[in-house]
Amino acid sequence: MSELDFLTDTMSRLLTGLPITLQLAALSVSGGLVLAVLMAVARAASRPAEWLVRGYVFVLRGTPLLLQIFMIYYGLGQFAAVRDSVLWPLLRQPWWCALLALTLNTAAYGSEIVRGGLNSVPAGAVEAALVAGMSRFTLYRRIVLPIALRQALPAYGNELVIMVKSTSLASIVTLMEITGIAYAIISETYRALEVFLCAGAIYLILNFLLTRAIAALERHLNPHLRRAAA
Amino acid sequence: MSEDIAVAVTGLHKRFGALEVLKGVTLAARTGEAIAIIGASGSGKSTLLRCIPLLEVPEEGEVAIAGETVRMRLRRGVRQPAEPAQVNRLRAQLGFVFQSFNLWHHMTVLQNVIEAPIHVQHRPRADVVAEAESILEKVGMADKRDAYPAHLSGGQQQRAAIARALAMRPRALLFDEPTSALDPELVGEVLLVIRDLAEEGRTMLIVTHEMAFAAEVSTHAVFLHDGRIEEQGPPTQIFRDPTTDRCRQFVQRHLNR
Repeated sequence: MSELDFLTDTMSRLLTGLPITLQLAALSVSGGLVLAVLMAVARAASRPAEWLVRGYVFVLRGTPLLLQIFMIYYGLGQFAAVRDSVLWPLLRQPWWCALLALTLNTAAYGSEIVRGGLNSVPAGAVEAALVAGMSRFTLYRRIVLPIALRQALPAYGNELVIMVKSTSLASIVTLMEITGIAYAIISETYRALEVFLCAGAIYLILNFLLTRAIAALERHLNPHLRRAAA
Repeated sequence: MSEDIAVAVTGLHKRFGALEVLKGVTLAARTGEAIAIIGASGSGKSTLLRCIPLLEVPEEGEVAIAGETVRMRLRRGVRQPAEPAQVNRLRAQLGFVFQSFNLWHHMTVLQNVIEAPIHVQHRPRADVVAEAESILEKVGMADKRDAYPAHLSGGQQQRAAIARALAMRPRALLFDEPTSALDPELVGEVLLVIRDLAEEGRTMLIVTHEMAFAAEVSTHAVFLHDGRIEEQGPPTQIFRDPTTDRCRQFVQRHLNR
């Protein structure tokens, strides 16, 4: 087998892991964003919620994601309550465990990013909404969150890129996503450099497309920051 | 309380920490009245105006909008409106114009104007847009309807903010130093718009430092000093012939500027 054949063969095998990588990244990031917004808003709204969220962020942000995946995949099964629960059919599968760990982890970082966005909402914009008679819910939905999320988007883009790369940790709990497949190919061929280079190239392309998409979204959402058309 | 009273405050006391900013202010605006509220910085005039839509909650006293008194309660020793829904409903009957405009920067001028009529008053979008366009026409902002606030001058932003307030079909318009954040050459265009509104007979409360303007458009004037109404009366009295020394000194100092 020629060198080129080996590389194309490796690439095509690695790409079979792409769906899992993309699923893990997309689902954890969307679930994580919802949790992040809920936590950031709750934190701003009530004292007890603030301490709860701070504790959550402290633990999830302060420990390695790899450990969190291990704890959920290997650790949860020790509890009979978990084994007997309706969630056990899910929690015994590595895919769900990895997804859960990634989601909870990104939610912690995300809530801090969204909190920064919330803090940047001008008090005057909020007052203008209040005097217009907006309820709390309408205020958040129409004014506060649209402004906060626009502010948070550049920082959130970073988090998205990090999450795409973090999915590679799922290989450690037997998931055959891109990195997992790379490992498998290397154990057959002992050609670590070429295989990891191929895997790295895939992540690089994914993140290139992702950062382009984020930049386009930023432009689309912030026409007011562009120069006036007329 | 009479239906004819658009806005009324009774016995307002407001403290910020140790500082008592309002020390018992009672004031009512009948429908069609234009009340100018003047006074030195720190006299409490902006706080008084902000108490009306409950942006500041007074420790004592009552606020009534369109004859309906805002119900209050004590929660952990802090006075607050008893029913947020009531406050929201009453606020939607007012138009408030801020010193620093406070437009929503992620929306165009038109979006700013139609936002609350659609999402608070739940009026049909097509009607709201049509009305918003005629209001923008009136304040001379029709050609800027699709511009974003960041691309407008201060005077244009303030006129857009006035349009936003008008779109609520308010029972009363409250102006909190509407020209104080503007470059001198932009003050005129905003005053012109407010003057037009006064001539339509709209109910207004205007906190301002523009004495000549206040004298011209108001039907009633109030001079606030140290958290109390020191003197009030028809504009001819307050701006030409005040009875109290403090008011006389204040008006002279400002008219001669």
